[in-house]
Amino acid sequence: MTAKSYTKTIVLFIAVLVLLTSLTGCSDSQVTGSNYGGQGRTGSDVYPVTVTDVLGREVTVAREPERIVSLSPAVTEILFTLNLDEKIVGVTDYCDYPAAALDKPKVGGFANPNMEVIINLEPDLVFTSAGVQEDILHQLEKVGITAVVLDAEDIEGVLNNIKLAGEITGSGEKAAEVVSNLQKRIDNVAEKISKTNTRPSVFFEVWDDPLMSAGPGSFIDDLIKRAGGRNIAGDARERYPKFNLEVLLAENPDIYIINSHAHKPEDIKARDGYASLRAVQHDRVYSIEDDLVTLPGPRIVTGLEEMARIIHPEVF
Amino acid sequence: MEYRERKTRWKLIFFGSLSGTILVMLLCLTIGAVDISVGETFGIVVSKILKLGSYFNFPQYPASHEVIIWQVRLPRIILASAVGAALAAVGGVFQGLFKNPMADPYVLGISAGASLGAASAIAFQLQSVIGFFAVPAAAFAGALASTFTVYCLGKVRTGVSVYTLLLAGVALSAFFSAITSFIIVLHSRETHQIVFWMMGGFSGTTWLHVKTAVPVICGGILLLYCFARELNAMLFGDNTARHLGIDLNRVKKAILILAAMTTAAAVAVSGTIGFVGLIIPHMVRLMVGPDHRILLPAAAVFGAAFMVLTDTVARTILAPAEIPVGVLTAFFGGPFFIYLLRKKKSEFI
Repeated sequence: MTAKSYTKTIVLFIAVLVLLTSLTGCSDSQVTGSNYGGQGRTGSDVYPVTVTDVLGREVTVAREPERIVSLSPAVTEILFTLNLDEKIVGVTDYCDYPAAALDKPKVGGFANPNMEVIINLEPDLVFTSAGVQEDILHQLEKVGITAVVLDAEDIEGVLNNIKLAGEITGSGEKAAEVVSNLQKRIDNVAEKISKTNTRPSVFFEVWDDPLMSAGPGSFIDDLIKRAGGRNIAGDARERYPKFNLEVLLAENPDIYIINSHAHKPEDIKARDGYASLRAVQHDRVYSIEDDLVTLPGPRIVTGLEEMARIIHPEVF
Repeated sequence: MEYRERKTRWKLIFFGSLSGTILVMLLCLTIGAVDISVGETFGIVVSKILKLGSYFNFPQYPASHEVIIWQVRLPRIILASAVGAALAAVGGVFQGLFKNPMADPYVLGISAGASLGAASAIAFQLQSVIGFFAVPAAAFAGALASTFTVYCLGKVRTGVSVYTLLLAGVALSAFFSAITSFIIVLHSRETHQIVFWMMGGFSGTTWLHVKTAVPVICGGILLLYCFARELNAMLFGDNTARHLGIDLNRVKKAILILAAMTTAAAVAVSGTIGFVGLIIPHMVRLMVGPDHRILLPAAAVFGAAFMVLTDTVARTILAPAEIPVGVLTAFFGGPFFIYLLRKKKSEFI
């Protein structure tokens, strides 16, 4: 190869590349998803249903779904609440509530469910969550499987997801009933909290090493506010900020809440330097199950009730 | 005479390992989390290919199995082979170019640049603006930008200094990694997604990935192969190479551009998978010798086979869960390489 031809080689390479890409670009071999699922219309005549999911995608569900795969523990919970257990044909390894979900066929983890297994279940509807599952979503769209994204960042979002899931799966009435019950419980908490006039400061320990709390945009922050508390990490810049121990000691919260998977309240009280905290001195260290305050499913309302009982035991 | 014999031997090695690799790919096509028989697998593949002419009547396979073989496994295996080939070939090229056994395809900051690109795209939600391909595109851009920066830093009065390049690569990698970490800290909501991308793997592969990356990778490897003689000469030092009539600066520049394009295309669609680009060229060198004319093609072929095999293990061993393929490349490659190293200690490099 002579010296002059090196530049030419590069130019040629790029030319060949452009050509190849443009040639291959036209022959997309897409298998249509029309073979999936039952053919006959069942139940109501509302189908096809078109909904806008939380990513703003317009999804049309042609007929009542009979084989549903859920890639999100929260959605699995919603589907069970809507009495759809018969129709659920696949869930993730992380779907552990209600206990019946454990018996469903598994399609892999949350971040990396197995595409082959999902396709082999021949689902006519797959529920995914946002964020890390968007690659999967793209792949599902490519192979022609109807997918709906359900995810939420606040309680209203959860209620909305329940309604949406009901609408898509033909259980709209059940969904309306579930939502109205949840709304009553939420209103009940709000009413009781409105009668209190203190706003105790609360620290929620998400993780201990590094020390992490929950800031704005997290369910935990929202629940603390609704439960009549003041989240000392409420003005953090992130959703799950690392929290400086000095600030914690200076803020000196009235109530200290931990995630029950990680610690018991006794562990917290025994920590170096924690004896000076007001929460420790007044024996107000509590634990709460993290699924109740982080998963965007119906149990978030239970989380709210527990949180309210912890922060304002006097009105419950 | 002797050269002709060697050439015959090389052809034998190359075509032998190439057919071996194709066999491995076909074998891996039949293995997966869902049980599909060998006959059905090949029936689906053959019927899919022949459907263009529709001469024969094939049995009706379940639609789900057709999708699994044709749209999940096949593109994944093709992409894994291409990425493995790219990383191993570029690793071989860089080890020769830098005369450094520690060189790998990421030595010029490509992985750090790609990670930064991908992390920015994910954190700033570019997918919702430009669509799904935003992340690979940003990774590709980041990879090329970092290589270009390193190249500019490596330019000295007399041309391109490989040592300055290496050091600039290390420094820029550290700098970019720091920015990526900062993005992760600021965007805790997307942390999971960014970290998952950085671990690398082929779990989201579609034909779109194959169509965009594979032509670039194949073209890049073929053109890098054209520089095998120059790389051989450079092993004897820059002066020797110059005396043999090689325009060193132009050659280095061309090799760097080609290697960067090839690696960037691979990293954009698979994330940063370590170890393959470092170890496969060494393994192949121990087996076929240091001549780049056989080293590069053999490394590409072995890299492809190795990547396809490890990815198959990654997607099946804990099925339905998957293991990040980078974990396995080191897990299997490390001990095997140590074994080769002990066995042929005297001939190492």
